[in-house]
Amino acid sequence: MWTVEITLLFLFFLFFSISFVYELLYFSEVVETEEWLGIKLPRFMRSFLQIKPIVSIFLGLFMVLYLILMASVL
Amino acid sequence: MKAVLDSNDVKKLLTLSGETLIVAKRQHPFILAIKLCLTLVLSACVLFILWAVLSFMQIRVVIQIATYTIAVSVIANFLVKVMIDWYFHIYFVSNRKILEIIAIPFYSDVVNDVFLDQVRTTEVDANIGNFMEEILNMGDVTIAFDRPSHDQLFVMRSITNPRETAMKLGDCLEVIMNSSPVWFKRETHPEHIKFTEDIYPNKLGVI
Repeated sequence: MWTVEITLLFLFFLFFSISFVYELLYFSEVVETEEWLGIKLPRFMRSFLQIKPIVSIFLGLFMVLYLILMASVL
Repeated sequence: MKAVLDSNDVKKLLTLSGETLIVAKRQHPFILAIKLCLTLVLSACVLFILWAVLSFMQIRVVIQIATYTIAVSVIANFLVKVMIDWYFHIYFVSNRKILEIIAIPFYSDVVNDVFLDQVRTTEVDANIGNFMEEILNMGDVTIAFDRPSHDQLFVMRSITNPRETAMKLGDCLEVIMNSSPVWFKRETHPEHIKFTEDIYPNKLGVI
């Protein structure tokens, strides 16, 4: 069970890392499209796109911390 | 998140000299609502399956929470993507060009452009296909072109207020086509008669 949980946590950490990179790239593409068309996104969507990568990286870090905690207990 | 844009919203697309906006629209908000509802229903199914699997496996609570967080994160990203895709899909008609832009950030961009001085607009049709579209005042507006344009039809799909849009476009494009020297001022040149006389000398005078 421990190995399954540690593997899952590691996969979650990988997911949040990839998600962080994807969200940053997606946001930059959205900004580029805004500039190209001259059409601004509504504020709530823009805020979401700005906040989401930060949330992802924090969750990824939380996964790492929990992994370390589990490893130290083991 | 308005479906009808004004000239201030699309001033960056008015690039040609003397260009003025006739119509700029997105698809009807109902299209966005349907996509969002479908996404939410699918998400609910995924979350239910996830809950069933996690309950069966009896995994630690922290990992269960992490799994749900990932699912919610993916769903939120997908919902925002659906909204942004709808937001950047624009139909634009000015007195110089007709334009469809489907900008899907990070995936694809499609720009379908027709210059009105290169084509002859022959028809502008509005099509409200069913009861639902009638109630929502939603439908397609089709602009038909004569050759030599590559696409003979330009369709503005599922836009708001298709009848009024088609009427407005019809009137404006009629005025534009009438003032277009390429399509309506067809002169018969005197050189043609000269050419006939060259082939059949003295015949025209006899008849």
